[in-house]
Amino acid sequence: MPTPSSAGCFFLDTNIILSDILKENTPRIEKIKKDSSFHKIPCYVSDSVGKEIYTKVQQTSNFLGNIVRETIQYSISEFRKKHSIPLTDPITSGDVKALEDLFSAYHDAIRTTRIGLSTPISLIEEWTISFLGEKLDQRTTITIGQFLIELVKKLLELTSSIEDLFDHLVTFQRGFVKTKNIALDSRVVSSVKALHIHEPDCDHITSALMYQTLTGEKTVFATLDFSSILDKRHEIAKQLGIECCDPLYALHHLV
Amino acid sequence: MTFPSVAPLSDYSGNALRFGLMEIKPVEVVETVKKFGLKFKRVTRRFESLRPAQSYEDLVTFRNETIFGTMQIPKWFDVDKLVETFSQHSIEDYQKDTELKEMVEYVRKTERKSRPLLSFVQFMKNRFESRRDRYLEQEARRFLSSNFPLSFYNKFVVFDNTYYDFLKTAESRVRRYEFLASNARNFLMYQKRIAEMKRNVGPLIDKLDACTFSCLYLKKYVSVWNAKDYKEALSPGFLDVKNVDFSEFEKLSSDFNVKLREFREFILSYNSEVVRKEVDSEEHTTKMFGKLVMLPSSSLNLKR
Repeated sequence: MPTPSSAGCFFLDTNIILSDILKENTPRIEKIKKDSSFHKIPCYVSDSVGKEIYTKVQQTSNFLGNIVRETIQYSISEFRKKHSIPLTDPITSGDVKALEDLFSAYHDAIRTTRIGLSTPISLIEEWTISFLGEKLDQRTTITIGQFLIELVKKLLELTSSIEDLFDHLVTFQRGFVKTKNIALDSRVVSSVKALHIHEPDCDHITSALMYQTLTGEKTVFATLDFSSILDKRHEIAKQLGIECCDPLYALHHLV
Repeated sequence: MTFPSVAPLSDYSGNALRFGLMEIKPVEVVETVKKFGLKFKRVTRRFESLRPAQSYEDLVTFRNETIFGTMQIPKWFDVDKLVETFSQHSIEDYQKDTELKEMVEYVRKTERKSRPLLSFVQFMKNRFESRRDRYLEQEARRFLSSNFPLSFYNKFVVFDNTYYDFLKTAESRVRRYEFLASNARNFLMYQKRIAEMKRNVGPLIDKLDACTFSCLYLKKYVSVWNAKDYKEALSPGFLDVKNVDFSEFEKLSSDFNVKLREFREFILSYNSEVVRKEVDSEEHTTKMFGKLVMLPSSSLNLKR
């Protein structure tokens, strides 16, 4: 097991914290947590990361809420109206097929216009139809109103738990990370941007870089962003002097 | 549509906890009883009101006066009438809640050996636990009958979760101090233990009150701006974000968020484990959310 030659620290990207909260990418996250704990290497998150996490969770929650309230509700209601079925009648396979048409229309629109991504639609489609499928499999009678309420309840339960975990870890700093409030120098931000790293990633990297410069402590920026940060990691290290890496390898960059 | 979770949950539960745990003093009653022709001294300890209790009516009216006295309200409403309408509504709810009133009385009347304070907090906790799903459903219903973002309602769910954490924390504290009190050598020590409990739990109830106030303020602000008359103010039909002044709404939301965070952090200082929740990573919703939240924000936009 290599040991860091001198004191150093890890700065963590948004996706690392979100993965830890949502238990995604577990082997990678556990590796950096274990390295941090075993070698007593501090893990920091910048203010910009904290803000981004909070914003992303809110955006995702509102996005999903609006889809349930507007798109799904509207689509099933229209189907019922067209077939003169009362809204209070239990959901049947006919309603599921109405949702199939709805999601299919989205997929077609993305294919033809090439605007947007089909991933979010596929994810929501799988979530909604699986949920409804479970209810229908259990032969549970459920109305449209109850179905929508159940979906919203699931979202509220989850997002409130995420907020608790986020506050526990970042706001109240009760977990493995500490927050660092670093004033950003616009000249450094510009030099990061020059490598085609967009906001808010450039703010996160700038924070780590400035911390390294101000304290003289070797700093490694750990991220799971393979498509816009890790693919440029050699260039970033050469031009800016900060190492960016996958959390699996973070320890080795301090050696 | 109503805001019922506000009333049974927080509008008077903080007050009830104050009545039940804080506004009490232990008293020792010494009686002489005759048994088998012999005289015995029987000592019982119980709780009495610390001072002439402020009535629930007074408390709720005072709170509504503070809320509506400082709130920007629509010109078709009168402050006094709003105070009266909302206070009357809360009082009626409280009057109907015989279960809670009986429990408060039980604390005052029961002798110390049955540990009435712990029973009282456990009653509050168990009652809330049994109603949690209903409160969650109420928030979901309100969301579906509005055009406010889901994150707005999420704060009220966080508040409910925090309130539950508070009850669990209060339970463990009351259990400890009441146990110590029940084993006290003499009445002086008994009084001391009860005073310690009040000093320990009191600041928690103060924080709950401050947070509840901000929560109610925000909910009532949204309600009155979505109502045409007093009856509707108690249960507006559709909550339209366009009816509220956005900067004021932002200010009140931010105030509520700050109070909620302070309250949660305060609970954490009492019990570091209680606030932490877990997510079920195998659950469909978690998996879907986990993948969506990792996508660039720009991809969260559905256009047909």
